[in-house]
Amino acid sequence: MKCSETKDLLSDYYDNELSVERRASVDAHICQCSKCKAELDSFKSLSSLTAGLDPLETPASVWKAVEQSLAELNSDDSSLDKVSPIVCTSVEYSGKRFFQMAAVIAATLLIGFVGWTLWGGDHDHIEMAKAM
Amino acid sequence: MSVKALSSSLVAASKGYPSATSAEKNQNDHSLADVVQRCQTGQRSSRQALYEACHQDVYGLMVRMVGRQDAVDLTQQVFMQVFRKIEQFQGRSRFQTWLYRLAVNESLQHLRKNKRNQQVLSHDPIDSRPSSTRHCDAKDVLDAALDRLEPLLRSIFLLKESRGLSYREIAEATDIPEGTVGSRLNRARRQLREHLVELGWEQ
Repeated sequence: MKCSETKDLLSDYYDNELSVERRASVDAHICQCSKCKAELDSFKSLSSLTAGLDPLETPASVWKAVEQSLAELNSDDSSLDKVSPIVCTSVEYSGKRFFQMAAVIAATLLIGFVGWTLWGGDHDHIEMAKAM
Repeated sequence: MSVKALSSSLVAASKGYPSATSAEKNQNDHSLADVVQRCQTGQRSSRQALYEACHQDVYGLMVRMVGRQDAVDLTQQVFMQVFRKIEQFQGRSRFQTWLYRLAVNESLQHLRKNKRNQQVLSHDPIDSRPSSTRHCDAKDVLDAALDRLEPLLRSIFLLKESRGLSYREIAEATDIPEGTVGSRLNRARRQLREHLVELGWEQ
């Protein structure tokens, strides 16, 4: 195996992600190549350095904020739960709604009838004028 | 297992501390799976247990991705997403992989938005001390070098080195093909080494 091939596979080798055969080929190359061996050692040093990073303490404010957002979300859900049965099942509300709808339909019909009458009247008037 | 015990052993397992054997890691995965399942069935009291078990992993990643100042808000957003979308987690992968996917997405989106807004982004993820007093030890130098890495490479490197994810899990968490994880880690490690040397690190 050449250096260029080994370098391409170096992380896979280091992280133990290679098949047994390929691992053996990289192993054989590293044993005889000081450059590739040095690069592998530098990967190991990076790991040691990263492992030494201190764990970071999460500020308590994060959970408090999450908890508050969840509470708001839950109260939105529960307020919907409270409102929806009233809207759907109240007989009183349904009766009022029926009369409102009936009034709107009646008003629309009345306006339509008046409009039709007026327009019809004008039409007759024009027809009469033409005849004269 | 208590919430605190679950939380500390998960942190140890994810950091690769010697105390976390593979048997312990499996046990922790099972305990976490139980908590996740309880959250999925709508048990609100389990949300805090889930948060306690995972917050350090998410916050630690966020600080190194976006800096301390924004890490608080983004960690909060990630957990809100977790609780809203938990029913979508189907258990095909480990819960942590799914969680890291949300966290990496959130941080990359945030960095893209910031880049658009201010073109030049210069944040110090860990420390805002003047440069003369910084870089005094290897950890500070590493943080500064990590900050110089391209965000996606940084997330891949951290998921491997700090969280011990496999290439398949990294691919899933960062939404890249599994076959490219090794080459990206090669790039991340080489660039990181160069930045460290520039910053005065002696191997």
